[in-house]
Amino acid sequence: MSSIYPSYDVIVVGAGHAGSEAAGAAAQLGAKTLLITMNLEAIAKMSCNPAMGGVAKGQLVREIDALGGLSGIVSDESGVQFRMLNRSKGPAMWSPRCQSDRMLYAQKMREHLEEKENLSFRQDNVVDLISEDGRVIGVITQTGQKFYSKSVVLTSGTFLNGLIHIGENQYGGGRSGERASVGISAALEKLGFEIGRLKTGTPPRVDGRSVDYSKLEIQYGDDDATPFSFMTEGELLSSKDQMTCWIGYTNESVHEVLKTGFDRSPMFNGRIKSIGPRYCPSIEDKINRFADKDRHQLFLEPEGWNTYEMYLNGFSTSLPEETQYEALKTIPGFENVVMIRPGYAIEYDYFPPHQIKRSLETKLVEGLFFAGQINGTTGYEEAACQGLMAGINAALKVQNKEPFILQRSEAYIGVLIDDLINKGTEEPYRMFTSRAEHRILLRQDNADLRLTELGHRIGLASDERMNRYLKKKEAIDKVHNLFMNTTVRPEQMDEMLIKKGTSPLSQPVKAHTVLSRPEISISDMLEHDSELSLAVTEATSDKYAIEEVEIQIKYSGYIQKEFEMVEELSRKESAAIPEKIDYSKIKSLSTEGFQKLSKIRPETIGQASRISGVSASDVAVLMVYLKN
Amino acid sequence: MVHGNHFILNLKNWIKIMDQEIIQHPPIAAIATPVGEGGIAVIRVSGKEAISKVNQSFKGKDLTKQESHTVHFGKILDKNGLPVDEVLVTLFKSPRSYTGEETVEISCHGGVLVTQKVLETILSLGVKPAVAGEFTQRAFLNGKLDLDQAEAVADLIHAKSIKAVDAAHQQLEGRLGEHIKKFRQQIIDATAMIELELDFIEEDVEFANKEQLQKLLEDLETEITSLLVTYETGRLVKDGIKTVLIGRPNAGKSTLLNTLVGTDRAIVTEIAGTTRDTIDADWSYDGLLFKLIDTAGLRDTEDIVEAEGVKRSQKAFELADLVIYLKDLSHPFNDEERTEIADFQKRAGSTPFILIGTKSDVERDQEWRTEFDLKISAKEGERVDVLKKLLKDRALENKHYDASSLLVTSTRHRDALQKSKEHVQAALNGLAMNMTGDFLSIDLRAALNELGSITGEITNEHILDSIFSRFCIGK
Repeated sequence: MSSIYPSYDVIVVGAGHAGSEAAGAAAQLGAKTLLITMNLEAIAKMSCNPAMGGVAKGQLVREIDALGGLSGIVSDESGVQFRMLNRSKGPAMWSPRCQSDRMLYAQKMREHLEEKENLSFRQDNVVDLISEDGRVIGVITQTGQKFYSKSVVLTSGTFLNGLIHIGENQYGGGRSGERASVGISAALEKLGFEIGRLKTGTPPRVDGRSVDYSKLEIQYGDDDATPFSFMTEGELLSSKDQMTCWIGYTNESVHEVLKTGFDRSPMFNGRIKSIGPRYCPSIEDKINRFADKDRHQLFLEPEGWNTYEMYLNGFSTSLPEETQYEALKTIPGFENVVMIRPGYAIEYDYFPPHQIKRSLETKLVEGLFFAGQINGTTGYEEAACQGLMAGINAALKVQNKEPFILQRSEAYIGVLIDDLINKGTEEPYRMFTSRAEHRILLRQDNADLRLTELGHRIGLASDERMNRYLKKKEAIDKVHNLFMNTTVRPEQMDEMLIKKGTSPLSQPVKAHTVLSRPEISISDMLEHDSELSLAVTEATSDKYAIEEVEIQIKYSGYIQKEFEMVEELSRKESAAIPEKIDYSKIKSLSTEGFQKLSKIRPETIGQASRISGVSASDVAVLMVYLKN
Repeated sequence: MVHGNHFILNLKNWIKIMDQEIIQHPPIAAIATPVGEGGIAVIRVSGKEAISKVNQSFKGKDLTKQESHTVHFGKILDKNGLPVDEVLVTLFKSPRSYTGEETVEISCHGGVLVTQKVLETILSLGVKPAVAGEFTQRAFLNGKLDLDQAEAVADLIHAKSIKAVDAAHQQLEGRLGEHIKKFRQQIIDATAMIELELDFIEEDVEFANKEQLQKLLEDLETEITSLLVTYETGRLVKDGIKTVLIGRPNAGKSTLLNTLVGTDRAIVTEIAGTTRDTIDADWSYDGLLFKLIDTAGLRDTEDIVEAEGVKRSQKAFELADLVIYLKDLSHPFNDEERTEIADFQKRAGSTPFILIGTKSDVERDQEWRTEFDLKISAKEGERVDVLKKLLKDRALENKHYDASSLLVTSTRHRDALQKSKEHVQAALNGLAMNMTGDFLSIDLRAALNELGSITGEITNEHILDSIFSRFCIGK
């Protein structure tokens, strides 16, 4: 072991959304950490659309923040437009989303990382891993330097043998304008890892000054939007100070132009063989598969405060550049468009995620952790939360502590990791709320209540964050008690109740019974009952604490029901399967069940039951076997 | 092609069997036949070295040197070398046995004492007594049965009539499972419609409208209900039709019962009040099992023993699936008796109620002013065949009975279907109240979980414990 450089506890390879969180978390936990990236100017770069959050993804960012990660804070600092999606649905569906200033996001992330005491940076390209007796002990870079460490987190994004396609033109690259990373894939394959290939794509960027906005619909941000971070003080920008997005549509003429390039499309002529995400298809895919649809929606999104560059969401394509350009000009409003960068598709290596444990450590090589697109996911938020968990666990591993695992009933992060390792993924994995069976419990509003204490216990969430959480919790308890115990009277409530189309009170009742009516909000009640209003004001000024009480009371029936289900399930989750179990000894397993169980080696009965290909009778057999 | 696929499937199964290394648990033994019934009792011994264990107390050929699936005559000797019984032993070598393990079945002379003694001798060789369901559990573990089949086997063992055997067979074939899977798919489809709008709100797609969703859920509710109503029939088929005979003392209840069953089960005398307790007898007719309950008379009585009998009669009446009121035609009606009949008829509610005139051979020619369903003379065997058919028809009226139809026979399945139906109804209510999809989806997922508990897809230990504890010792 010789190196001119000191050795580290944790080396993080890659500084995208996964790598940034991993490095930040490991350093925060006290591990001496080195972040190696090919380009230090591109930390936490938004390679695709300039936005964070959205349905289910917003929840992920809130969870990262509640645990003490960085993506939430950086999103608040760099957002140019904020919205809360799904407001018309129940609170479990409310999802924060923002448009970001791409450059500001990268800058802010770097600033936060540079503040971390134990974190060093290195611009270099890792080409090989150093391992010894099934353990990773460091990395080798293309400059020939060796860096030693106790654990390594790989967050390679789309860089591993990245291949960019634009029409018939193809070249090696990790991202538009950046080189691919060659070497790591081969090193991992040599160590025995199973490798796969995925595809993703991105739309062209255009000059905003060349667009005729009179032909597009405008989309404003929200006033009074909820920040991503529980640490963000005060209000976000008012809607008039935010940037706007624009909605446009393709038409049949656009489709006709696009079709002229189909014969040179790498998607259709077989050059691209790997699978892309079904829920994020290219425009050529959309018109090919949904031929009866005469138009497709497009969003024109700003890339930042200080640039005219704009992102045409919905127009992802790898058609020849001239076809892209011609088609763009056919879109109403884009007649005189200036295309700054063409869209492209990119193929990259990933490692099917049955090869990692719940801690994100690989099963094959001790101390080696994978996070982000290398595990087959897509999306900044999905990557960031894995990075956070991998960084935490890499540091805990070095400190000889138990890994930090989140359950499906605790966090979307738990759902994501559990899905990955048990169900695997054939296409890039994106989070949806429907993946979370307990989503009524996993809301964006209560991410801090669910996770901050856990984050503080492992040393990630700061004392300040913890105190803020405790204060909010206390405020919630107080206000909750008020609503459970305070009586409201017909003379205060009835006028409002009738106006809201619900029945008046026949006698004084406890405040919570009125609040649990679907038509009535907490502010309706406070407006008409000065006594109650005063008591609430005395208890707290935290509007999120009050909102929390409203949700807890209004949906208590559903929440209670869900808690009971979780309890039932947690019995299965706690039924451990011995690590050394020999599945070949269990005769009545189905062939597929046997294969999947031996491959994935679940840690609990609950986990086993979620593995695709493991049938119910396989699980029953396993349970009986373990009982004997 | 079909043949080809079938062949491959069979081949796959065959390879699987060949590959299997059966788990040989320590040997267990139990009496496999009902205690105290029949001329021959069977003791089953299954597990590691079952044959050599039995061989230790067997006087005859060396069992360890014999082929699988062979029968051998010999004696079981106790530890002092004294013969306990003359027996036939059948050998099953692994994996070709019910449990998949090495198995010996010892047929000995029935009778509680001898059978028990043979078992004790085997147990004294270090063989453990089997607990309820343990043989089936081992069969299940060794891949001989799946969860659904294991349950159906329990039903087969308990099945007392041909129809019940049919219902059990249907389940073995997975027909119920197919229905449930269809329901699951329908709910999954409905849930998908809801989820689309939740997760893809920003997409330019058409979301399911309320009417579409409502229709889907209403259809589903109807289908679950139609499967659910077969439970009543299923229960009757499986457990038998509880048929209560009531009437004044000496109305001929016991005589009728004896005529149907063909044995002198009830004591028949001319003294009113002879039947002081409810007397049960099983009577099979046209594939159906009737559990005949001959009640004590229903008269007020000072006799304490008889009073107890009357109390039990009342109870039997309440649980009945079919009520037969017998009126002795040789005695004239009085008003009290008329009121009594009307009263019973009312209390029977939706339970079929049959009014039968007995002793029609000595019927007094008179104006009864009452509709009898049938007049018979059991003693002479007059019109008994008509009666039998009448019992069957009335027992099954409004019961969706079709010899080939799928019946839900298990209480657990009924409960799960019922609960999933309730969840679907809750979703429909939510829809009517304009609840958003995220809440509707909670109900639909709960419905899915319920259905999953039938097919075993969301099994848990409670269900397994309950299944295995339903098996008698021995199978």
